This record gives sequence, C-alpha cells and structure tokens, in this order.
Amino acid sequence: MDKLAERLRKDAADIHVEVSPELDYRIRASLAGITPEAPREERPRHSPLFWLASSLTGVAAAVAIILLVNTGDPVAPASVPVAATPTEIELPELPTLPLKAERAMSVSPLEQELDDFQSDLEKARQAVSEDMRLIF
Amino acid sequence: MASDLELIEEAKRGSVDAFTELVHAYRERLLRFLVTRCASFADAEDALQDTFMNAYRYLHSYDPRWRFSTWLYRIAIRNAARNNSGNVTELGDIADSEEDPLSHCIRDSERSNLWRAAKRVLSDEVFTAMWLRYAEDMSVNDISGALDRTSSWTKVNLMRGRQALEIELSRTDSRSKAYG
Repeated sequence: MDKLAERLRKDAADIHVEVSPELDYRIRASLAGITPEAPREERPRHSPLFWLASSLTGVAAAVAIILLVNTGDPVAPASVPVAATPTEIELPELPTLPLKAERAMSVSPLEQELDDFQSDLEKARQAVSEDMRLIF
Repeated sequence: MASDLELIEEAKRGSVDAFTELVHAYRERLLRFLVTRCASFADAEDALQDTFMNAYRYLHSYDPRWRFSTWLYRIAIRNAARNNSGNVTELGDIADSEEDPLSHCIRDSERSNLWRAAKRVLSDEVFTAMWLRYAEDMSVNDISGALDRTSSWTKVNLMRGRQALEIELSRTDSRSKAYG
C-alpha cells in the first residue's frame, strides 16, 4: 500500500465519532414506527399460446371490419345545398365632390429636396454596406 | 453471529431486532462519513437517522449482488446532499469555520488530518469517492454503484483526487519546512 493511501486510512480512523445514547434511542424509536414497504407484486407472465391467441383475435377482428366496410351497399352522397348568389347588387348613389388642383410653380425648392433625399439615400446605403461588411 | 444477508432476510420478514443489529454494525462508520459531508454534527446525526429509516423502509429493494454497505452509503450520500441543500453555508467555508463538525471530531494533536485538506481542495463527489476508496476499502465498482457513476469516471476522479492531495501535501510540507 502506498504512503498516501495509508495516511488517508489512518486519518479517517482518527476522526472520532460516537453515537450518543439519545441518537441510538431516536433511531430505535423511528425504526419501531416504520412498516417496511412490501415488494411490488410481479404481473403474471403469459404463455406464448396466449400471445398467439391474442394476435389471431386481432387479425380476425381487422378482417371482419374490412369485410363489413367493403361489402355493404354504397351510400349515395347526400345533396349539399348551394347558397344562391344575387345576380345584381344595387349601389346607392354617391354624392360627387368638387375637386380643384393647382400646378406648383416652385421648381427649384423641389430640386433641392430631391438632392437632399438622394444624399440621405446614399448615406443610408453606405451605412448598410458598412454593417454588412462588419457582420460577414 | 449472523451475516449481513441473514440479518437482512430476517429484517425483511419484519424483525426490527435484526435490523437494529445492522444499525449497530454500520452506524459509526456512516456517522464518521456524514460528519465529513454535513454542515453540523446535528445535521450528520439527522442524516444518519434518515439513512437507517429509509434503508429499513425500502429494504425489499436491496439487491444482494451489491454489498450492503454500498447500498447504505448510497442512501447516506443522498441524505447528506438533501441536508446540505437547505443550508446557506458553502462547504468551502465550513472547512475553516468553527462550526465544522469534522474539526470537532479531530483532536488537537491530529490537526494535520489529511481529510480536512481533502474537504478543502476536492469537490463533494471526488471527496466521497476518495473516502469510499481509502477509508472504506471499497472497490471501484462499489464506489461507482454508490455514486451512480461509471467505473471510468470513478477511476479518473480517484486519480485526480490523489494528485490534488499530493500537491496539497507537498505544499504543506514545504510551508512547514519554511517556518521550521
């Protein structure tokens, strides 16, 4: 045996414990109040003949159902009522609103607006391509 | 004197006296182990009582292919873990605290007890594996059964536990030499 194992064994024996009479009494009392659980009863094992009979019964039942379904008179499908749709829908007369439109004469501010918009679009495109470069 | 198996068979038939004989045979060994794993001596005593109660209640589920001590340790480990889970103190702190039941069970002349260092440097499971191997002389298979681990896990962790303790021992030796 190596030194470490010997030392561990010796040191374990040097741990002094004592079961007090109180603890001993507690353990005895608690044991007296316990009823050991009974082992679970095992289910009886069936013979191979049982499994054969069970399988044959299952097959016979399946065949009977198939025969019943296929040999009976075919049932005509019940007629389904179709909802009648109205041919013409009469719409109420709507009032006409007087609309007036004027041509905008301020051309230069709109051009400025378009330039600004295109510049913003370019900045956004650059930001997106920068993000794509960082991610991939 | 009746063997463990004979006593177990009698206890299974409802003999409390037969089971009490088993309690007497194992109580100190189990309490010594539980003292190393619980936060206080009172907790260790409670865990011991619970271990024997559970063992008696579920004795029918004991498989005689295992050693009875392996089965008892398996129950004791669970009870110790259950007791510790409700405790707010960390095990690492217990090792150094005044409340440490292990310190109370070691005489002043034996303060260099290696199990104190083991408690400090090893995890709960590895400590238990080391205890079962070296304090209880259990085989690797029995330890695996008690811890519900594979044999290879047990072997590897026993080796790691030994290495950790050897490092701790050499550190302690060099420190004591430095201080004369």
